[in-house]
Amino acid sequence: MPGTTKATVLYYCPCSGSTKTQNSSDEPKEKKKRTDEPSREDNQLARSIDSSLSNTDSTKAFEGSQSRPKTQEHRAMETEPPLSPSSNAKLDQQLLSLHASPIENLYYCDDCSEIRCARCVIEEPAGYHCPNCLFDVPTASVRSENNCCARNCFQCPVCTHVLSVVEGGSPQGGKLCFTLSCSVCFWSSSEIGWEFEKATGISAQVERIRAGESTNKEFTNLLDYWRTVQRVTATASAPQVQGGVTANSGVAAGGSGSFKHRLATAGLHSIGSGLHRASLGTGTNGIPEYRATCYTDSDHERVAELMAIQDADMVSYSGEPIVREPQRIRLHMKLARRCRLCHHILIKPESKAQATRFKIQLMAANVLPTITIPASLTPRSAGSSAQPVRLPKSPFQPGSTVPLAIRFSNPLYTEMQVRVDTCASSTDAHVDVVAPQFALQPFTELWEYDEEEEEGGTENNSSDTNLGGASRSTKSSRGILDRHGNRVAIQLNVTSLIETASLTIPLRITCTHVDDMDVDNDTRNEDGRSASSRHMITNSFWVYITLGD
Amino acid sequence: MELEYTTYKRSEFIETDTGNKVSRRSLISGSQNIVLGGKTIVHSKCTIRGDLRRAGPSHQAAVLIGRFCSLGEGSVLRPPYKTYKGTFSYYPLKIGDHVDIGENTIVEAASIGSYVKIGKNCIIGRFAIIRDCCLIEDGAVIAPNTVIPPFSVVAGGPPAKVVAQLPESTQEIFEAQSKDKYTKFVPA
Repeated sequence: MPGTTKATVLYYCPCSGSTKTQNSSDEPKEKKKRTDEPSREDNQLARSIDSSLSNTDSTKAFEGSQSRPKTQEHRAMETEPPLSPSSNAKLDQQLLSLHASPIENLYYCDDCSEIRCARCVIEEPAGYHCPNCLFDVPTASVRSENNCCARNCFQCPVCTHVLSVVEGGSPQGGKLCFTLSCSVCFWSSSEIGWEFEKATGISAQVERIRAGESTNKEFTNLLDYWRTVQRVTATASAPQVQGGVTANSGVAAGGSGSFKHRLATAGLHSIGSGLHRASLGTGTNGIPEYRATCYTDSDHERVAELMAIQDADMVSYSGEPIVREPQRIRLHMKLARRCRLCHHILIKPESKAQATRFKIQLMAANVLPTITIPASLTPRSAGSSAQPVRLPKSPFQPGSTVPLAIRFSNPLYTEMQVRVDTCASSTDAHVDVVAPQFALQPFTELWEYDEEEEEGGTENNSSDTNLGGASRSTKSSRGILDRHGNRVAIQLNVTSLIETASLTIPLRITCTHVDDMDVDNDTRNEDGRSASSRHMITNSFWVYITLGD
Repeated sequence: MELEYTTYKRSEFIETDTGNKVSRRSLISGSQNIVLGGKTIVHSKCTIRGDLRRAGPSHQAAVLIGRFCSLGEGSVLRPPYKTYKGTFSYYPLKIGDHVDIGENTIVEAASIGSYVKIGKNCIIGRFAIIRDCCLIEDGAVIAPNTVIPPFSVVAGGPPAKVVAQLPESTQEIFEAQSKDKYTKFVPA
């Protein structure tokens, strides 16, 4: 690349990270100021163009797509960029990265006809699987498995790598013996005495080992105890709950008071102070106090000692080393995504862990034109040498006009009409779109193959383009640098108004296309009236092109 | 930014009937055991060890590479090996379609899915399994026997960890990029 200027194209998502659409709380004062005459003019212009594109009376054609009432903010959005390029370029970049993202990361809700970003979609689980063995865990058993893989997947306690089951350890009585071993740090489970008879179902075998440990027994006992307490308090307090409070919240409210009290007395106090034997008795609801089974008096003394620590210097470091056990691998979740406004499903993955397909996949890149900064204008084959496009070099000097080529590509199988508007009140740069309106040919798989055939008709016409690239003079109108397949490259003339290292250009893109779902219906009904009843879809959105660092 | 055209010397690369472009300056051993799916570019100083195959009279290929792959300069593809039940053996290395392997990366994986991008200076350990639609960042060291689930971004190491998730459109993006890369790799 001759000029090492970087260029990024970001698409603005109209959300503010919440359920609300573009809210006036963002920049209320600035916006109100700007909605004056030029904006209204532009609006009318946009309307007239929209209607001319539809070829019919606009009221009918836009019934479906423009049914939403346009608020003041919406109108402001059409003429003024939601994030205006301010003199403080640094802040602008940070704001941009919050509100705008590359088109690959964006979704498109076809109910709202709006871009949706990762922040304005609702995520829902659509299946669980282990990331290591890719086993699909049924949703019903996820909870009972504690969100962990119930097979052989364990994490190394030292380096977090996945442990593999190996033959070895100390065979007892000539029998084979298996251990978990880390292939990165060579940690082995025989260090902590984990040796298994079978190479399968390690989790179950580990559970068996753990069940024998006194602390685990204690935990299950405690869990059982508190379950009975909860049950008893729930039944006892339920009749006392006044009308208007639901049974569930009543249980929570009624249970919590005595629960806390019991936790304080039985759980902490009696064990911590070693006085639990003295405080034995029956509770308020007739349940005996919890009695620890596996703790001996020395344990209680030790706990009391630890509880009494006031100063870190008093702690002796002669304690036994901590035994670190391998952890079972956590399950992963496949996510389905919905629009936050209308709950329309945007992403629905196949439930299988192995599959990478999606049953429903509404990405912005499949609906809206993708905008790129071309490196060279025309496709080249052997022999012809297309000159690479030079990006304007940063820093940008005030008053200097530099040409910039941007390329649109149509992802749809229908033709698309595109209109490019600029922001009039920018303090950074003045942008002149030479060809503000053009058509994008439909995408066909065939374009990929006949590139060489089209190559013959190119001629140099650099006087008009200033970009040094070869352009197609035969069909190209003014400002359109290249038209090839489903792609069109247009020219912008950017005049910087200030001296800056990075320039952000906001562009309002409005694209209209025929809804191809409706085309089938039309042809089935009546051929003569199909053109008039075709459903047009109009999408408009802001794009931020950043040049420079 | 769109990708720039890369030019190569016509004398350096051999183009096969299926559109594979293999540099004469690459080291390819045991070429009868290597399968290239078509439109795959093998850059200079790349090493593919097709000679490291399972002992015995099996006819299985040692290295299988799909379509629209790119093996970067100085990358090494070596089938993984292990001793199983007392016998030492090499196992096949399978690579799917639209896989981009960066410069100076060493691959000893058991299988790499489709739509995978591996950065520069990476090490993919023995018997690692990389599923579809993954991005391995520059300099990542993937430990042996690791399984990388689909749509993961992996970085760091050793051992490299999953640091992020890729968007749902990854398959289309990586496919378009690999096709673009192939069409823009033209003779000077």
